Amino acid sequence: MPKNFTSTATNKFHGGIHPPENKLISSSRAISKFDSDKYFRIQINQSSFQNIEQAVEIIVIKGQKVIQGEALTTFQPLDRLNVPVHSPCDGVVSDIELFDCAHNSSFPEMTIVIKAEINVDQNRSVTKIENQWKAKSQSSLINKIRKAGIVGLGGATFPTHIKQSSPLKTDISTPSTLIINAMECEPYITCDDRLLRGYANQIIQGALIVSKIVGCERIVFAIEDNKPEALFAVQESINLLAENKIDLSIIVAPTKYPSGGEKQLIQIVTGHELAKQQLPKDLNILVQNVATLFAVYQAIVLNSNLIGRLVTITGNLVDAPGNYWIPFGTSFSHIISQFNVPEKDLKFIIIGGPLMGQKISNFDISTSKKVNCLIFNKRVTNVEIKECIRCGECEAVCPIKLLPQQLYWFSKSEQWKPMEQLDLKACIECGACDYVCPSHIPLVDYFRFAKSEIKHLSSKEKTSELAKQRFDNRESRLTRIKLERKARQKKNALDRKQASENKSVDPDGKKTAILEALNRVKNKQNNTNKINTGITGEE
Amino acid sequence: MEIELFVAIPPWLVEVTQAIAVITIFSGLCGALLGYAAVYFKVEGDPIVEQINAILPQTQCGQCGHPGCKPYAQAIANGEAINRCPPGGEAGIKSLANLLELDVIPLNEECGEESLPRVAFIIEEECIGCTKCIQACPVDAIVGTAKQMHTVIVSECTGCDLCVPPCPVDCIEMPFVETNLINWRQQKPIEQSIVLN
Repeated sequence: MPKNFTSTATNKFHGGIHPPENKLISSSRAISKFDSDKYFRIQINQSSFQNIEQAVEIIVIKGQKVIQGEALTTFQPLDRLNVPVHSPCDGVVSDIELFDCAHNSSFPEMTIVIKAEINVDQNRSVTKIENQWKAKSQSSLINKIRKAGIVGLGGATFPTHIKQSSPLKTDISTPSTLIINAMECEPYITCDDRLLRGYANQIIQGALIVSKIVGCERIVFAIEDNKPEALFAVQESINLLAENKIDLSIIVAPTKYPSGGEKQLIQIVTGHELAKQQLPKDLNILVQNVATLFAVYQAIVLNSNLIGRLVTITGNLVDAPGNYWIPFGTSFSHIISQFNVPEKDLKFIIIGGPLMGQKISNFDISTSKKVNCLIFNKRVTNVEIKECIRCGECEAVCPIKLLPQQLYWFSKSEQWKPMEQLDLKACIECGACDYVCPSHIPLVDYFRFAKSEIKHLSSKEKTSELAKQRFDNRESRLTRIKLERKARQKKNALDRKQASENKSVDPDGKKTAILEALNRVKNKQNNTNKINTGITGEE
Repeated sequence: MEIELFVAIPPWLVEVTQAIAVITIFSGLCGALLGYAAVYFKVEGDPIVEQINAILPQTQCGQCGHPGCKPYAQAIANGEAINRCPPGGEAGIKSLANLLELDVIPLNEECGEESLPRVAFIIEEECIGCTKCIQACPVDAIVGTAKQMHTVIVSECTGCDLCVPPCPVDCIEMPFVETNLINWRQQKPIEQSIVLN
């Protein structure tokens, strides 16, 4: 292995911002113990990619005993997308009901409530099957990752098994690469940083497992330069790897938001910009977040399912900000009471970072796989939205070179065609334009609105096309039936005519009747003659 | 003597004749080309009717007074008002006005009111199996047979209401389509307001 496998990134992406980081609030405290609640509310669908046709199937019933890590839902064999969820504790299923979830629509989703009987044990002793994974087939490893309920834990929660199920090609000039995403570019969030400091070896193991699954030639570990301790931990653990066939290197990138976005990261690492509609696998690249790799390690090596994650608890209302292992399904109100957050000052919690995160004011909602950070901040500043002054700042910071200002005008006047032409679809909703806007216009909200309307219109178009087809089919069927009936009537009329013509020759059928009667008589006579002759013969 | 004979045809006449000849041949060629194009690039059907029909919502409800969307599209092409389609609503009138370069006019109230999407629902316990609704459905979205219970294929139903009047036992309801996580739509941001940052 070369000595200096760490290098500084030379490529960069367009735009980006440098918001105040606020990472020290939570990163200075080591991972600490969290007293979990007695009740857990598990959302049955926790991946971003909901399969509409194939609903998630619940395999537990009310009152059933479950053990920690037991699967609560399953997927149908034909269904490629859904991932199961698991019980975070030993306990009893106390309810299965619709409950609010952290979705923008605030529509309720099906949840499973579990009452814990024994406290959750994060470090439960596990049967280690170290290094046995090397002998396993790729498909069995992918299957295991899916059954462990692993989704992208960087916050996007895209099912990991789908990402990994298309192996990277090796015949193209660009080497197949696994990029480990440790950028963590959003302010406040430090869970990846802390995870790396504590579990760098395990994450590298996870990366080796994934690199075996997709068959890649090199692993690039990408990290921002504001996490020197994490970088050091990774360097140490790479040094510890005695012999390794895979080319493992580290790229340190300057801190800039949103360098942790998949497309931006690929641009930083390789210098290639992903074109429209292009996926990382088209460039022979797979990007995985460190928390996801850690979950892969846990699933494959420790044989444990995903039941919790490291969550950053931060903000100026928290008494002990830091990173904690929090099981999925823990309610926000429990976290509020654990960290002595004064509820009268708390208007809302931010899930995720302040830029891409989501404001939640219903504290009965529980954590899920997408919750990597919870910000409890006291906010007093009110901001007034003003008119757009056409300064163009938003265009300067957009990491994918869109024209946010133009898009804003079109969204405001609800003109969807030009928005599609301006490539609205490519917007990653990073919120950089929101951040720099001097008029405080919620640009991303406008883009989300436009995206949702465009989706609605296209689905409407589809249904109307279907209705048109069915209407046309029905019309043609009705005309066909009509024509057939007409033809039949014509034929019947013709038959009747023929019959009446026959009748005119023999008006009331007497002649035929007489003929038939004569024939019958003749037959009878013949028969009797035969019998008579028979009898005489015997005599 | 010979010179005399040539002078008899004046040069301007030659030029004029040449010009006429060239133009005649050229226009003849053009005519032939156009005739060829008219035969080989003939457009089947009336494209404007197709375009109008593509905008209409295909509910086939007949509220416009025509038996279906296509006949109404034909009627619009022949000059009928564009504001007779309640399911298409304001957005439909707008895009029709845009296509035909007409003024946007409000929906004709005689035809009905724009409402949220609905879908037919048969109360199955009450259905007597008369098949009358099946015959009325313009998109074949009701399944069932004589003296057997009928039901609606929800994904195919356009919510046109046509099955409701023929039902002799009034067992068809028209509930609104329920909003859920899948068909949910994002709200438009409120302009000019104070927000908590």
